[in-house]
Amino acid sequence: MIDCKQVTKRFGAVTALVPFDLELASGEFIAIKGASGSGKTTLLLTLGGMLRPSDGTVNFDGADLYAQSPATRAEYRATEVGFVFQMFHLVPYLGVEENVRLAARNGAMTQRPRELLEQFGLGHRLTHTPGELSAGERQRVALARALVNGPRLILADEPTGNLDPENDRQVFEHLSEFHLAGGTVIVVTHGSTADEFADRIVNLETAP
Amino acid sequence: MIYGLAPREVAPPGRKKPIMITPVKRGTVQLGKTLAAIHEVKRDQMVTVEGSRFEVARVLSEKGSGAEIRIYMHLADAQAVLNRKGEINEIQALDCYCADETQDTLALLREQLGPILPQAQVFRMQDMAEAREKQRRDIEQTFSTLMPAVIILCGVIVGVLAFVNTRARRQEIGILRALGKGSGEVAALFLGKALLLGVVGAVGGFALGTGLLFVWGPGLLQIPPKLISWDLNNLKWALLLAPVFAAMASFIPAMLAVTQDPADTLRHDG
Repeated sequence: MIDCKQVTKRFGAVTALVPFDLELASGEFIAIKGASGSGKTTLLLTLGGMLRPSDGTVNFDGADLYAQSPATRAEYRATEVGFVFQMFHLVPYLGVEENVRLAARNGAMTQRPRELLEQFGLGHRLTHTPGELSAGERQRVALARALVNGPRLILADEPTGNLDPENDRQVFEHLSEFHLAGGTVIVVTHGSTADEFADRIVNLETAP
Repeated sequence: MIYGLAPREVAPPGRKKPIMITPVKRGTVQLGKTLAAIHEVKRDQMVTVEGSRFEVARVLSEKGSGAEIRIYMHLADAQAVLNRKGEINEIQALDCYCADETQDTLALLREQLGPILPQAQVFRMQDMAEAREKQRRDIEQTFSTLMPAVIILCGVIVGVLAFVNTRARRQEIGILRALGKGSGEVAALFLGKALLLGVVGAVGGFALGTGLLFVWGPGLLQIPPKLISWDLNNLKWALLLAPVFAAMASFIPAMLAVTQDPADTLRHDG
């Protein structure tokens, strides 16, 4: 599904990501670990078609992501990928349901946002704004948003970095459910909970 | 002195002019202040003019002119009491709005009216015409100086607000791009907001501007109160131009939003 070859990212004189290879089959769950500054987020954004690598290629289903137009990559993110971030990145002035609906392709019509939120135990919070939610609840909203278009791949960047152990586990259980249903998960994490759920652990080297 | 006023004004072809006279209803009169004082007549009382009874609709404010001793009534009433049915002796025309400095409007008017009303004398009420002309030029000068400054200032304010808004929403733009929203959708979001701002500004500006004109127009800009009204034509133009103007002012910030690197925002997430 994903095939990275010698992907490198430099910002000026700073190397954020040392040459990195990764082959990922559809339906895999991998955890990427590494020291702070090893380029975990950079790698995730590169895999998500949002950050062009300085060198190397990122292939998705055999097609070079960065040989395609920005519009095609946007379409790839909208249909194939769901992003989950450590800081949740919810729109602060929108309600929970609206945040999820914002990402939905046929946002106004579909019942999917509500169904997902109810599935994640947030049915009673639909009209609340992110500021009124706990960190765990916010991350579950972000998860619902990532899943709303039925993606094949979830890219999660430290999704439990701001959560207590109970919510940490809950988030991984939701990711695991997605994985068991056939989805592919790449999660960047510092914690050890991922070890229990991931098929593979990949360690990123820090740039010298 | 009896003045019979026609019940309506005739606007020049293709132009909708605000009414300049105060129409007088049939069966009523409006009295000059001195005349009313001499006869100790007040509003709503009945007076007899040439044997006919009329209700005093209004006692005019002090004018310091011949109007002090005039009786204004409906033209048909005046013709009836003076036994001059179908006759008129004066047409007042306001030409300063139509004045063309290259033309002698008086000569033109005489030339055109001659064949129709051969007995009519055509002359200019010079003082009034000049006063109106001066007033018109003063207003035009004020607006020609003020308007470009106001437009530029508003453009700068809208542009700066849009720019600040773009900066404040960097993260949101980043997440929208991560969610697969294309450049067009992000630009539409910002330009759409500008358009909405324009519509709200047009309605608010129309209300505020007209309201302020009612308060300060007559004193500050020397605009006759009769010329000030809630002119929906102004609202129509404001609704048309303000959103376009706001969108133009927001264009650069919107383009910045579109070209902003979402990864840069999200990479510094924590």
